[in-house]
Amino acid sequence: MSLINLDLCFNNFTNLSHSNASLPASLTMLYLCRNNLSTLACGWSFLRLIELLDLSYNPHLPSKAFQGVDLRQTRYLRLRSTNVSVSVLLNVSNVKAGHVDFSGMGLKSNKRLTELCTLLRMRVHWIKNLRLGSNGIKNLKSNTLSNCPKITQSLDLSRNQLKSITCLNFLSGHKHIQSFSAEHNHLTSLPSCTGKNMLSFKNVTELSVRYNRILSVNSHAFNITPNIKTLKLNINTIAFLHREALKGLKKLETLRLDNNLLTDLFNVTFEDLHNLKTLNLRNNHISVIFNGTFQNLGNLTTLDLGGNKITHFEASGLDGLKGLVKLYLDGNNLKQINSARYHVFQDTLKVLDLQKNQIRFLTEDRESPFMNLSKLSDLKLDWQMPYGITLLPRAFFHGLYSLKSLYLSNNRISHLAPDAFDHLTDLRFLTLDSSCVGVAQLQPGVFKNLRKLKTLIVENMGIQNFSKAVFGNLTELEILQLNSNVMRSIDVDALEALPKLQYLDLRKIPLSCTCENSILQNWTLNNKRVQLVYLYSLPCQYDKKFKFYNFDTKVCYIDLGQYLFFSTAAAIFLFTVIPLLYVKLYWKMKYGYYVFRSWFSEQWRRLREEEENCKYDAFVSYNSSDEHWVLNQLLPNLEGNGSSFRLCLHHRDFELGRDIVSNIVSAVYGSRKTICVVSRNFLQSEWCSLEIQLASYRLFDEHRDVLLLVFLEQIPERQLSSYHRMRKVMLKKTYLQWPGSDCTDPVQAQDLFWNKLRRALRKGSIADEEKTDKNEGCCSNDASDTSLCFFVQE
Amino acid sequence: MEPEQPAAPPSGSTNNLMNVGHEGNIQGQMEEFLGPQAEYDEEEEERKYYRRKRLGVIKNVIAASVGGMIVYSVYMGLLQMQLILHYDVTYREVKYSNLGLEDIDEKMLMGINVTPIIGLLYTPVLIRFLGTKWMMFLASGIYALFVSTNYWERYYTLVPSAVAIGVAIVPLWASLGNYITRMAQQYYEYANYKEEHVQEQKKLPKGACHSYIIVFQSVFYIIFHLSFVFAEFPMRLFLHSYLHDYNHTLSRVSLCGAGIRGLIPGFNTTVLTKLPQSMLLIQVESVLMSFAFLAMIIFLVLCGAAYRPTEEIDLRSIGWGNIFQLPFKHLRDYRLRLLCPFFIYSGFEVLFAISGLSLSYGVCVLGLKQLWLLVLAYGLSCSLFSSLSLSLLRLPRWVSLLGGAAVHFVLLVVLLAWSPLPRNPNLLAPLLVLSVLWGLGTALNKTGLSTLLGMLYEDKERLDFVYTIYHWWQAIAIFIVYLWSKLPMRAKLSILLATLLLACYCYWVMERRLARKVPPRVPRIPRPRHKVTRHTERLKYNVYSPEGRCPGGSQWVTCSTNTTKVRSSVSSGASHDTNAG
Repeated sequence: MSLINLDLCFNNFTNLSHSNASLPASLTMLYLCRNNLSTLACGWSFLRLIELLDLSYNPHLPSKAFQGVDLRQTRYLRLRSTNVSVSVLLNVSNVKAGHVDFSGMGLKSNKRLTELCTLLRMRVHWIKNLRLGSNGIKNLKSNTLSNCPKITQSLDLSRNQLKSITCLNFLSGHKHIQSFSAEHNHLTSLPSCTGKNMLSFKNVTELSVRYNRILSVNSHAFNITPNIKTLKLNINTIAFLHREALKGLKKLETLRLDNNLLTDLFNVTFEDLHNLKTLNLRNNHISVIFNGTFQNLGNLTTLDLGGNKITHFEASGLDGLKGLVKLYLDGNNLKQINSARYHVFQDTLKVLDLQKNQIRFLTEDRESPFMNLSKLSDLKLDWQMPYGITLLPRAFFHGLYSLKSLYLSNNRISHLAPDAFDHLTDLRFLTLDSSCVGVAQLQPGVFKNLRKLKTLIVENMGIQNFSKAVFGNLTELEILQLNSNVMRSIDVDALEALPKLQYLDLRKIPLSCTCENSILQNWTLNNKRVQLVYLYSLPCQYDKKFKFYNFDTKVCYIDLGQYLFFSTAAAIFLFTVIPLLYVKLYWKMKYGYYVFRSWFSEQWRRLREEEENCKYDAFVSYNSSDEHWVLNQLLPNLEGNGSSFRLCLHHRDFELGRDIVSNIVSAVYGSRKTICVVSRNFLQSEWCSLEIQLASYRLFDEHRDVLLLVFLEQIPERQLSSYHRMRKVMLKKTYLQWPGSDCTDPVQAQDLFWNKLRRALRKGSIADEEKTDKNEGCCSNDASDTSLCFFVQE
Repeated sequence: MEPEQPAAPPSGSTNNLMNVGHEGNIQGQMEEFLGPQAEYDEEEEERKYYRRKRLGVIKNVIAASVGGMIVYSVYMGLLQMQLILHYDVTYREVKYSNLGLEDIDEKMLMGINVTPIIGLLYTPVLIRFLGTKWMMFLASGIYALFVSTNYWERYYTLVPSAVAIGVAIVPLWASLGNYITRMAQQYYEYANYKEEHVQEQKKLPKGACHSYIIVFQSVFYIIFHLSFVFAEFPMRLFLHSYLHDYNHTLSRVSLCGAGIRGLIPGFNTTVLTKLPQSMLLIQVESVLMSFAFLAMIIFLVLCGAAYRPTEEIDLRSIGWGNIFQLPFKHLRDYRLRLLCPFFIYSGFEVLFAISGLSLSYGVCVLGLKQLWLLVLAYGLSCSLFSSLSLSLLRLPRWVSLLGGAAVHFVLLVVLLAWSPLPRNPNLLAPLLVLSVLWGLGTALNKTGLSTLLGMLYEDKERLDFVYTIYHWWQAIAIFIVYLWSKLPMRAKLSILLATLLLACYCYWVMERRLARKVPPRVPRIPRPRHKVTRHTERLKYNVYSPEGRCPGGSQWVTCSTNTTKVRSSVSSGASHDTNAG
């Protein structure tokens, strides 16, 4: 790299004394404007290689300073607002006269201009550019410049006080001039230049009268410059543009008419401009485009009609624009998009600007107005006035396959359908900022087809959560502006799902400095890929003094707490409940345990096989209060007295030293039958109920009918009901009743009782045996009283 | 406990009915078996046995006190720590943002304070269904569950567990009071095992076990009140370094004490200098959790049952409807009626000590950093002065209650007149003295009331009803304190003072009526519903079964008196003692 351009403006140099140093050889442009140079005081060859030297605005710099400085190479010397006099300068310096910019050198009067011309004429015959701007010239006589060297390229008279250019009659003799510029003057009108004595400048291709006060342009105003290519009439107050003002400008390519006061365009205004490529009519007062206005502008590529008051186009208003590429219609009063108007250039149009119109849709049922604009790459629909576009009709963007940029901001769209952007497969840039009303519900998948999108601006959309479902498909996204939304937290997973993201703007989002966002904080600080704008000034919500990047996340560590909660709560619950259950249900569990054990044990199987040679015929379960009956009645009647049953009585046959419960279990299972001697006392005894329980267990679960119930007393059913375990058995079983003293013939009844009991004992214990035979009267001589003694409980 | 009951020396002669047949053989064998041990000193063995039993009772009392102390240390320490942390607005915002933890805390306190109102409905039923010991165990489990939920503070964890605590408070305290008093009765029985009324399990003579009640209740409160001390450990060891000093926390407080309204008007909403690391919080909570667990184990393993199984069956078998009604019926007793103001005051004063006195006077003047010191002083003095009630062994019983009331009366008058200015560390000493003196009053009040109830209701069948009523009124009082937190301090103090005076007056009236021997209207406890007949011949079951076949616990004595060998039952009883607990 080498230094070419050195700008030292706005310093306070007083001279350029440099001892022995020299400027680098590569340096060709040196700006020393707005210093305080009073002399150059440099060596002869110090500025030898400088091609552009700007010494303007050094008010004390005298002409003599240039004595002894080699400026032969200088191609442009700017001396505006210095104390240099042209005549002295040209005498003392070896600078080439044609390379000096004479702007702002006080050449105010025609006399001094004439002197300048004379001086120049003495040195050169041809001059390329003559710059006479900012000299305060009020008028130019037709002969003032006639002494000058021939101008071959341009004459610049900008920033003077010319009131008229009088058909360029002061340029007589300068027929080769190519460009004329009179910007920032006081011109008020461009008169008609027809007539015999008019000069003609066939070489002029560019004419600029911008920034004047031109009110009217008369017919044939540019007759003297028929070959003009660029005409700049912008920033005037042209209210009257004669229908034939532009007549004959067949070579015109660029026409600037913007920022004037034009109200109407006639169909003959642009009639001859066959070669026009750019037509700028921005910021006028045009309200209607009439039929045929542009009919001959077949080569027009850019038409700028922005900032007018166009409310509608007539049916063939845009006809003829066969090659139109860019159409600017922003800032007009269009209320709808009429696709029929665009059919002329539908295959060429690339840019369509409809910003700030009054387009609004209230119903969904219309087909896409952009259906055939398949080349369109840029579409601006933002800022529709005054209500916004309100509604995006279904398939609104259908057909815009080449669209690269879409502007929809500030449109107060009430609802964005999830398929709104489905057709825009090629979109690279989308701005939606402020385009929604209140809180936006971006539907999942609304961006699903925008796989080429690089820039997405969703500022101020009222987005409440940044979710993967909405933004997850934007795999090419590089720039994302999320500012001014209302989410309190952002899911880092959703951000990680944007692999190409480089730039993220999160300002003015009420991100809360809470544990919810601790992962986000970590991500914003540590990720290497994404630039976050003003990350270190994002404030916390509850107190602006605290910043998001360093809020305290130490306090967040939720997971472990959760696991500890679940484990300790479960442990405590079990530790509380198990002892309580153990205490409350100890016996129930013990029953269950023994039953369970006997179910599985080998012994049980053996018992089953050897059922016929059981140890005992019957295990007698009774309460101690009924012992005398057992000993005095039962034993003699069953063990002695002719029958040889082997009974198991707990006090006699229980194995010493063994656990009671296992004794009971083995007794029940070691006997073919279990006789329960039921009395009130029996029912109250825990042990007896265990015995019944076990026996009835065999009854119900092993289908072995081992239980024989013998009732010693009459126990009414309602009393039984308080001993629910017993009742469960009673409901299923028949039972024997010991005939009490109320029987009419106790002896006979007792005989019958013993017979029944013996018969029951002899029977096998298979469950399907009949149980009904006990339904007999104990009192044979009083059949009607049977139910008192023997009865069947269903 | 063990079902085997010490039996009288064998009378033998009266019940010869069982001597038929094999029954006699077994007796003979037994005698043969025991015969050779000639040096067997029955008296000595019996004495040793009952000494073991008495030591067991003391162990029970200590275990219940320590267990209760640990449960409340953990609970109050955790609650205090969490409330302070949640008070800090930065902590709340960062950790819970939109969770609204302040709201949760409010709901949690509401759950703890409001739920006990319905405690009277279910407490006796619960106690009698589970048994006293198991009730204490269950309650300690609920408190442990509350600690556990603090690992993960959510609306749906904290609030239900707070409600569960509210449900458990009255049963826990009723069963604790019942348990300690019952232990005193048991101790008396084991100390005087030779007395006939003990052996017959008849009603104890009036005033027989009063001294044991006094001693046991003061031991309980000496140990229990240490919970205020240990509750400050998390605050002192963990939270202390995170707290701002008083210049920050009290910067906008203009007045303290009697002149203010609410707790501490203008207290800074940020109290933490920096947020504690959550790992550290979890560690602290884990320590608390392990202590809560320890308390559960103490209740489970070290506390013996308060009643024998037979007694428990009796207690239960009067019918759930009766159990439900009896606490209400007991309110017809003028002794309880006249003690109600004292119960209420008892609830007022303890909550005033830790909220009104410590916060509106202490913290308001000294800053949050000194809170632990004040509560610690209060707890220590409570514990220390609980021993003063041992003086009731010599002095009349009104001394303790009215002494405590007198101390509180003086303090209340002083507090009514005192509105100190905030940010004045020089007032530490006077505030400590205030705390200590208030602790003296609390100690006398708590021990006095519990002892008094134990003395008035010696009947073991009513203890749980009476203590339920006491602690229910206390819970109501705590609820009122919870409601009045927004009132001006002078109003609170005046309510306290009025209640105190009323309580003293009513108590005095009660003592006068008792002195005049006005018979109280004590509701009759119905006899156990299971029908029991006297059966003398169930001896044989005792031979092989320690549990016996005796239906109905109350008949147990008669059935076991027939045991021929005392020693066998004694020894089996002793051996089963270890299993049954």
